[in-house]
Amino acid sequence: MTTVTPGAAVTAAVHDHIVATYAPDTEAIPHDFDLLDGGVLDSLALVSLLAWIGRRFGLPVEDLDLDPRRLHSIADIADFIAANQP
Amino acid sequence: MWQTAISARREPAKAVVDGAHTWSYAELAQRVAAHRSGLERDGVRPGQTVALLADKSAHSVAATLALAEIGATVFLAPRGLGPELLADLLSRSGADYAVQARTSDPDVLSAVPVGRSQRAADCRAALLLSTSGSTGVPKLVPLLSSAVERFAAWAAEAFGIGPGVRVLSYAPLNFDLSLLDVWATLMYGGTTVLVPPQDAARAERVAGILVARRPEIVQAVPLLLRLLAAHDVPPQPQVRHLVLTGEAFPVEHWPWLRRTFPSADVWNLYGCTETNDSFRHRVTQADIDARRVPIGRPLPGVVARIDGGGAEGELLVSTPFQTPGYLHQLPDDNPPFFRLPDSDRVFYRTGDIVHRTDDGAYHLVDRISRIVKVNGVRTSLAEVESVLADHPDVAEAVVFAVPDSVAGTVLHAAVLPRDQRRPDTLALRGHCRRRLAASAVPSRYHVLPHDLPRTPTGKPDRVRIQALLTEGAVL
Repeated sequence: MTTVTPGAAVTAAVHDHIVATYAPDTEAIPHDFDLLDGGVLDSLALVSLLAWIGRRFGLPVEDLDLDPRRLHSIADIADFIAANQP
Repeated sequence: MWQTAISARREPAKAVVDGAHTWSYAELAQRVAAHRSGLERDGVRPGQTVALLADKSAHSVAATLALAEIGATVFLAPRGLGPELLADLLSRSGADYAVQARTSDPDVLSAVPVGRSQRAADCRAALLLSTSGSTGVPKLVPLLSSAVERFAAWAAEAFGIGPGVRVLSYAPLNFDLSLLDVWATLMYGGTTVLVPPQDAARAERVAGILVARRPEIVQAVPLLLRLLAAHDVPPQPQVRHLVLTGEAFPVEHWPWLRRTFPSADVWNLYGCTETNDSFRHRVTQADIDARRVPIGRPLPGVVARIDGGGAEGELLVSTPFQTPGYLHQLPDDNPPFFRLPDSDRVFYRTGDIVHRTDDGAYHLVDRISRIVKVNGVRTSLAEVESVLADHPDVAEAVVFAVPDSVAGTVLHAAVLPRDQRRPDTLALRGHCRRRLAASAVPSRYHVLPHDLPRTPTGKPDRVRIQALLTEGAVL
């Protein structure tokens, strides 16, 4: 198994999208902050976030073997994108 | 019947103006006659219920009048519903036919039979409206001809509607606002100036209609003012009455509103589909200075009570314009229509909390049912507020639901900090998430550093808080 480290640009893009869309009253979210337990995302928001990831990074999100419960933090999401980028 | 007041008119004055047509009363009568014979040819008969599934236009106005002349109950159906909700509403309305515009020519309206599953129980109604479906399933509200006539008589007197008076119609035809700006206007010989639905969200189009058609009476929901205030609208000194209705008065637009409508009496009008308008107040500078506009006093013939008999509580009203009751109303533990022991009138439970000040004016304070659905989950706003108020950095919180184009409904929280400690909104989310269902966690937090707008009794003024904080979110 290879580990791909996400670029800072990907992490920043994910961070800025989540702040703008789901928590515009905050300025920054720590990259290890638990978005689900922290009340920033619920399951419905996670679905819309995945759709955005698919569009933004060209990932075939529907076809990937995906456990949304693993995508808890901005760091998790950035890792997921890096690992699946075509 | 209500429509005979319109069909009896033959004068050359303009009756209906829309983007494509300007019809005199004589021309309107010709169009009504033409639609009538077409609809009868399609099979529409007296006593049937017919749903109008066409956008607001001169032709859909004529088709409504033609159906009324035939002796049918006209269901002014909401536009833009999903197919399932529409099918359910049509079924519950007991509609025999649906009148639709041809896609190739929106001026050609024809009646098609609909699979009726519920017989309208002795529906002697002239018009059938539906409540807005923001909470739960829309209810069907039959209006008798006599109620429409009484309302039109009041509206004509209250706003000086008479031959040749131009009245802007901004709301869709199925909204109860049309009873004033379309039907009462036509019954009293005025000119109804229709804003076509496709132009309603385009400020420059609406402004163009104001400039070209110079309406003297404008009835508007605050959304229209917000739309126009963001656009460069030249002053409209011909407007004699500007009537605001539908939600909290947009106090913040007062200076613009005075500049743009310098000669208008500005009214705050309160009512609901079930009872039609029931309170009216002429807005003054003093109201604006106090940043609190009352709904005023009951209209002539309207009886208002406050549940419990005090100065604050749920508003109960009985109006000369109200519905006899919902169509196909299910048994209800707390029926909205009921009698009081000391009155022979039927009252309607508005669900609005009001406060009556010593001078006899009524103020809207809150909605009683503070249960909303978020992602299909029934959510108590009071519960979310109490959880937020438990956070050590929060002194007080007000939570309200805002329609959202993506999620349907999202919750906003207005938060007053405790001891100048500005709460971290990320921490507030986590705090709510630990104690509430995921759907009950507010999506937006507004930290108000000084105080919340309050009612005369010192409670948070939820109506104003929501109006102020969603100002930017509406458009």
